[in-house]
Amino acid sequence: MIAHQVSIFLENKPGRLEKVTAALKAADINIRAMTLSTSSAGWGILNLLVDQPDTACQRLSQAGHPAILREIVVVSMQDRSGALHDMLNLLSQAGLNLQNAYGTVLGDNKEAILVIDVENAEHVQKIFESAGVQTLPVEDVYRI
Amino acid sequence: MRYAEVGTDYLIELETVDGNDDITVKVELQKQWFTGNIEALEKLSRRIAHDLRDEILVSPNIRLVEPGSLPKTEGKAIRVIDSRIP
Repeated sequence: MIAHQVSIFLENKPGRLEKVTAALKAADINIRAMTLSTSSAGWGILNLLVDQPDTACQRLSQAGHPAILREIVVVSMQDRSGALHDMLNLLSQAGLNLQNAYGTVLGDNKEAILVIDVENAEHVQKIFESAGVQTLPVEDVYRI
Repeated sequence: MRYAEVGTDYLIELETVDGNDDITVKVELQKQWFTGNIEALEKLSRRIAHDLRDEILVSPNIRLVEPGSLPKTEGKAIRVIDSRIP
């Protein structure tokens, strides 16, 4: 089973992000991680890792936002220097390109996660598994 | 507009930038065409800009906006806003 993030198209204008958080708050959806990429043409894409991605996507669409679920792979690694490099090395050796990625250190400062948005997440997950890299099961991803 | 990705509404904004006329065409991205891929949206903007340049012989800026966000008066779309300094 593959985890999903919610990707939302936004104009780069005051109040646009707040409209998204208002819709999520009204649906009691908790944001676990996020990244916002803006283009030079006045718009951006907001990627959200949330506890209820299906509901979040549905509510945002109902509120008029172009929103979609995108497959992600969430990798768990030790919180140490070089851990990210080792993991990315696997991807580059496999010739895989990241669409987007964002990471964080978890509460105990021993573990870090990286959320990876790639085409063909299932294939990437298998690459990690065969290399012994731990990927988070879907239920754990939404509980981060 | 003949692009399914951006629907039929558009807004042309004319401005003066550094003493020159500047044209921006705003179009509404349709929800069902959004894939979450930045590259796809940039490619769409370039395609529209290229096609318009062939028609009107000037290069417009293309700005994708959210569906339903272009201004309307009594249900009719406003097509041109001319803010150029004479």
